[in-house]
Amino acid sequence: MFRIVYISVLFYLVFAFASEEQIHRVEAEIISKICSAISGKHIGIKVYLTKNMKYIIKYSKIFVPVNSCENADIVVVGKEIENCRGKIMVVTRYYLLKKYDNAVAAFYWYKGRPNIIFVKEKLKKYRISLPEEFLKYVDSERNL
Amino acid sequence: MRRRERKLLWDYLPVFLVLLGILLSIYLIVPKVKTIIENSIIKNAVVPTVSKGLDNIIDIIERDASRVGLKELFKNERFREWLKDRVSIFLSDDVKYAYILYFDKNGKVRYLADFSREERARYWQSYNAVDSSIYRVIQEKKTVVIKQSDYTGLWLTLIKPIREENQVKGAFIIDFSISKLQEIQSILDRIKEFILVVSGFIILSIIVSIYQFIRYRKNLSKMYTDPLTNVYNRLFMYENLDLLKKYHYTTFIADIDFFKRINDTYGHDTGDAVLREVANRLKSCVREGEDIIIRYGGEEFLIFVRSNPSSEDYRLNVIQLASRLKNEVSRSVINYNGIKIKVTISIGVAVCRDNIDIEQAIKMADMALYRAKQNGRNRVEIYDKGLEMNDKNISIIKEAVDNNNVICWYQPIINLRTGKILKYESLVRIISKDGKLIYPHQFLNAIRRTYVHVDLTKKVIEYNVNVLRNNPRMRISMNLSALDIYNDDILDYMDFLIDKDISKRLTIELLESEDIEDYEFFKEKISRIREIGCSIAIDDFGTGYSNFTHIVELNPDYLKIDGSIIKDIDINPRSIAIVKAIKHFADELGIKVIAEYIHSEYILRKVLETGIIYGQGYFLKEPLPLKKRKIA
Repeated sequence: MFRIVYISVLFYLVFAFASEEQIHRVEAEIISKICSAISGKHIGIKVYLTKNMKYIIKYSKIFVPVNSCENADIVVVGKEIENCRGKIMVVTRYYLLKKYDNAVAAFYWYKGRPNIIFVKEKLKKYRISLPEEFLKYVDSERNL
Repeated sequence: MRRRERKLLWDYLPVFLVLLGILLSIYLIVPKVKTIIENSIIKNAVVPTVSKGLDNIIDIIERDASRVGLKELFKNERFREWLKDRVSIFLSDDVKYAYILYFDKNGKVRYLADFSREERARYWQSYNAVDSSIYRVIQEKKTVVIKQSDYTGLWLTLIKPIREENQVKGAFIIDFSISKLQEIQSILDRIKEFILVVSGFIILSIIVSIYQFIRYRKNLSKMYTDPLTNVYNRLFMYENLDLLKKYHYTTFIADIDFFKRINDTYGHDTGDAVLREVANRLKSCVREGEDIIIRYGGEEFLIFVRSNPSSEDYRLNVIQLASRLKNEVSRSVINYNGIKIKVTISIGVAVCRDNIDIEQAIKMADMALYRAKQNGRNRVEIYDKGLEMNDKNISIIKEAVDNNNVICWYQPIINLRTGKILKYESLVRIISKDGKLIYPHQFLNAIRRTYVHVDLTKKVIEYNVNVLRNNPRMRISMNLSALDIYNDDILDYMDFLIDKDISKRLTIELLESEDIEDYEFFKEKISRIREIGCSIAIDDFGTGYSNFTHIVELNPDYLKIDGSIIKDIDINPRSIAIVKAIKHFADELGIKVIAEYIHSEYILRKVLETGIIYGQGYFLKEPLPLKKRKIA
């Protein structure tokens, strides 16, 4: 009996962690693509991450983590943040996209799927032109 | 190495492996089974039930959209509310999200309506999912079912096209929750867990059985090996008779000459070293894995050599091997702790072209060995028909024993000073079927170490006890070999048969023999005889190598000086010296001395000169059957 319980718990943990790891991997991949599209760089993107987004570094090879917003090319924000005004932001909560003027793009989970959105006006403000593949995710600020 | 009787877990290993194979196959098939079950549920249960209801709604949407356009139709909030009511009929716990999307001409996707219970999107909200599979509906223009990835928390997505002017402009999306899949998964996981547990148990059993087998092999090897010489012991032979019967083996018995002397002179450590070295030298002459060496007795080695009896050179090869064994042992002196000992062996070989009974082969080799020893030791004797003629066949003896044709003759032991008879030595005889008398030297060696010998000894005991019972004033001295003394069966029989009245008139004569391997153990057995009440005499004392310490420990009542010393006491001054020394030694310990083989008056006089009181011999009285003897 103990053996069955032990195996069940083991299985649950293995699958639970496997699933979370997969989600993190997907997120890191998509955020990397977004940041690459925004910065136009394919490698060595200096990124400042809020604490809850640190795992992105583990799964992405194109980021160079920095300790302050000032030194960063892009700020990836997973929760509300005090400073970093004026720096291009990629947020992982939909409401943060509305909250911060410098948040040009968002990556978030909606109806079980990863979603991307770029704000047309903010892209224009920062003179960012996106590759063709991302154009379908661009929307006007007024539709947010 | 073979074993019998005990069944090990190892014996079930093939069953374990087959079972494990079946279980692992099932374990590997389980994911495929899962896919089959899942597809079956999707195809037969999930999709059809939802699909039918959706098709009706889509028909209405398409009909209305044909008038105002799809985008405009959903702008109407009342329509959306009306649609929500219609859709809600078939929404269930399994449907996580239900919504309608619109594909605009710029490639953008937007929500037209959302009937989901949670995360409900508003009209015209952009659909930004990184999920290109949604566009398949445009390409395929028909219903699409997509299995979702694990991380989405969804199971299935059903996408139904909504047409406007025959072009797919929108899609009705139903996302099914993972709960049903989890149910399937849960059942399959239990099956997998069960398989894992059973497989674990089987693997554990296999490990245990392998461990058990290794341990068993180790123990078996220990059990079958003589720890001193590292060759097999007797137990191996008894338990592996089947193996020995499987091939033709030629049987050799090698016996270290005068081994007892080595033990007594240099001690048991040296004796052990000699045994080890002899075993090693014998091993070097035979083939490992094919031939078998067994330490059969104290200094006796039994060698089974696999051979081809139909070969022309069979006999020659056997003789050559026997010579090689003998020469190898005596080739160089054995050096142990500075003691250099020249060791020789006597070998008896049973050369048989037929595959005979192992015990019979050993017996034959033993007879040949006996002859080798008789003929001066350090030699090889081959068992042959001539040998067989000299030694009466065991079966004849057995038959005589079974038919009570065992008798004893009696030769008096006389007080040489008074002429009175002290007691009678019983001497065994066998009467053959045709009435002829068979003397001990004709059969004793043939039946040595067999049950016939044990039975014969019992008959002799029984015979003498009856004689003592019928002749209350008679005293008897009866011979027993060391092998008889070791045999509890015989001692128990004596204990059973002999009462106090009999025992005080019965003396057991122990043949001073090299068969006494362990004096401590032997002493225990002698104590039992003493407890029964019998006196003890040492027979043939003075021949070979008599260990005075052992004699003192055995504390006999009589010492019988061997006839070979007495018979030339008249011509050999050494013999007189030995007899005097024995007499002096015996007097010191209060042991009575008997001189045997007094065959002339001159010998009698010489014996009397030494102070010996008791004597026996043809000159005094010859052995006769009881009926011809007047018991005083």
